[in-house]
Amino acid sequence: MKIIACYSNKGGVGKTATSVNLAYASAHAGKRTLLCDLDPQGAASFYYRIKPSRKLAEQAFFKDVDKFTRAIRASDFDNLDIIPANMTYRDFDIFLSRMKNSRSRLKKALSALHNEYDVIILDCPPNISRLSENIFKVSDSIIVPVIPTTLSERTFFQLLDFFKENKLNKKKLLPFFSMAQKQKKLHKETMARLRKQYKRFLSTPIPFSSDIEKMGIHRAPVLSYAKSKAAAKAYKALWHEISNKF
Amino acid sequence: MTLTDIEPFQFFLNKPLITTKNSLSITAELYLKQTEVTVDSAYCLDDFESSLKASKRLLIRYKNNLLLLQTSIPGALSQKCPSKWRFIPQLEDGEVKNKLSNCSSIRAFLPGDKTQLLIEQYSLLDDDLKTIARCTLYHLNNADKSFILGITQPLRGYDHEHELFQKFLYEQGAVAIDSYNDVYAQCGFDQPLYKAKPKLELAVDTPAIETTNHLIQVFMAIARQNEDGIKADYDTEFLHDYRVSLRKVRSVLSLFKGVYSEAENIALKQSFSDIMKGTNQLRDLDVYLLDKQELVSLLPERMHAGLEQMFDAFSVERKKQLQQVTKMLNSKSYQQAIAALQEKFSNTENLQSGPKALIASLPFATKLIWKRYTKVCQIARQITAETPDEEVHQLRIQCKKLRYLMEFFSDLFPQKMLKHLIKALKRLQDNLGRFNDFSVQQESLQEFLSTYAKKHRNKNLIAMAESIGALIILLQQKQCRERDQVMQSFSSFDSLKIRDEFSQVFHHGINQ
Repeated sequence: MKIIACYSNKGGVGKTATSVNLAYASAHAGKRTLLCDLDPQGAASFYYRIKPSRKLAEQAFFKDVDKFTRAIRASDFDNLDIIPANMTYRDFDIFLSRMKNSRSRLKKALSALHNEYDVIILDCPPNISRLSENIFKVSDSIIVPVIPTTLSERTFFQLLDFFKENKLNKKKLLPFFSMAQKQKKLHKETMARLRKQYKRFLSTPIPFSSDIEKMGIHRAPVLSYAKSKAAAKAYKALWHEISNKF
Repeated sequence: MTLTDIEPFQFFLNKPLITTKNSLSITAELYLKQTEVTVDSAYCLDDFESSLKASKRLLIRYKNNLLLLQTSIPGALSQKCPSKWRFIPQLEDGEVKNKLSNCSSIRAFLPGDKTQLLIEQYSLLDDDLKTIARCTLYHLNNADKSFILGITQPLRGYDHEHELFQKFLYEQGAVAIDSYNDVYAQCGFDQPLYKAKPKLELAVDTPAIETTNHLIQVFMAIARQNEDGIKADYDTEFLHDYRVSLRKVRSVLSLFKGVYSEAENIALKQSFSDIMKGTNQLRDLDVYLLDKQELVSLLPERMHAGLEQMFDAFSVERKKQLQQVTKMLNSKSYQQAIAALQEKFSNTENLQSGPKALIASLPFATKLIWKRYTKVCQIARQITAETPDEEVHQLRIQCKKLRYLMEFFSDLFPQKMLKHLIKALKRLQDNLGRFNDFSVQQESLQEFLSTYAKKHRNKNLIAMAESIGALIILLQQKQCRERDQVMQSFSSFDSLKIRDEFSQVFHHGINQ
């Protein structure tokens, strides 16, 4: 089982769209996939039309392995299940601390999921905190969407510094260009410069696309309703690139 | 930990679901939407032994698809099949093939009547249009009757909604499925159940002649049930069962000495031998062709072409033999002869009785079995590594006779112990059987080669002779290995425990 976190310390960079589409691509490729919606806004669940689970807000939730696995919902697509988290920060805190603690029941729950899922994708909330460190530790890879602008560039290097300072494994970080507009000179130049500065950038950029924006209307991944469009093809290629790394 | 593995619900409906604009409301938040409808002509399938019906499975073929419904989880499986499909090994790997693996690989799946199959797919949706469960309805429409079989496909995390859906289906008249017998009966499988080894119902104090007649009648009926299948050449098991049943009749005649008069017995044996004789060659060819893959795999690839030629010759010959057997089975003389024999055994007065005709069945059986058992032991205990193969063949034949006797009379003895003894005997027989098969194969290959060589003088002959020669050597080695095991197999069979059980059941036994 591989745990892949989709993370960005900056909002509005296409993080949830990425989680949602990568999870779809993974399931479509025949991998039994679980998408964990850890973002308190629950956007990933919304895209899959899954109602937020009331049970999840209960304090006792993560104490109970049964409840954890019972919260899992099948999506409309084969091989793809979702935990509609709708978590409070407090829950998230518990989620991660338990994930770290090897004796915690949550850890047991996750290891029980080992036999059930080939890939677990975590759609993470956007902040660097002591808690995020734990996600960085348990994940096999951390996918980071970077818009090719100066501001995004800056936040990505802040994340890199955070990894250095905290002696985390930088190799886990897999940044890629998100919402890229080839026709914009600034985007082109930033992409070229960043690739030189940081070699581990994934080669597939996800283009800025109205098809991705329409996910909110369709309430489904781009790959399901516009699979022949450039954006969908890019997500598929991105997944291919990531899965080849395992 | 408990996961939410909700079981699919499989049901019969007695009327279609009525939808408005292809959708049907179930609760305020849930509704059923029809997503797909397909119609095709279809056939239900089963083998001659009704293996699928008996194991609560229903196999349906439409176009080049197989659909396997089963009362156990997961309910419905499907996969592609070749256009002229009959045997399991002809299927590519898939979920249906996997589930059929406990059926015979040499029995043909035969279609029943042509039926119309309408498949309706439904999704159960909530108010966000999220799929909560799926459901498929299979309508099998036959000339005068139709069946609607349904199966739900629950989705993880929606247990409660699935329960509501199930409740709704019950309200619509759904009945849980516990067998497909009615569907099979309606789709062209209305013939009586065929059993190659039915339970032989005997009574301990019935006179031996009545029991003998009864056994022969049963075996003859089984043989005759196979006639149509032989003629249609569905699979090789029809001829096999036909011959096994007739051989059993002949064994009864030769083993049950003194039940009929000697003259009667000689005449009967002759009649059955005449009937079977015409099928000998066809069965031999069937056996060679069934072994084809196994034999070919013994040789390196460069020698395959030589063997292929031989098997091609067998296939040509088989066609001829099948024609002859079919002609024989259709002939008036055969039909009259077999009907006359059946008629003869229907009443003991039709037969000249012998000195043992009126002995009660139990002592009659006990004595025969015990005598045969002591004979098996007598031969086997003298076998050493140096004993000629001929003696080993004798042991095989005696074991076979003993096995037949135990099976013929099995109804008269305590079932559990008898089964155990038969199982022990079978292990010994398997060893002896393989020893014999390898020996027979060598002989027939040798014989084929010399007859073929006399008739055909062509350049291919050398390649063929080489392949057959190599095969004979390999078979010889295999035979030797089996031969080496005979003493060990017998000593396992000759354990104190089994000796004791034989003696208990068939000698000073618990029944006497």
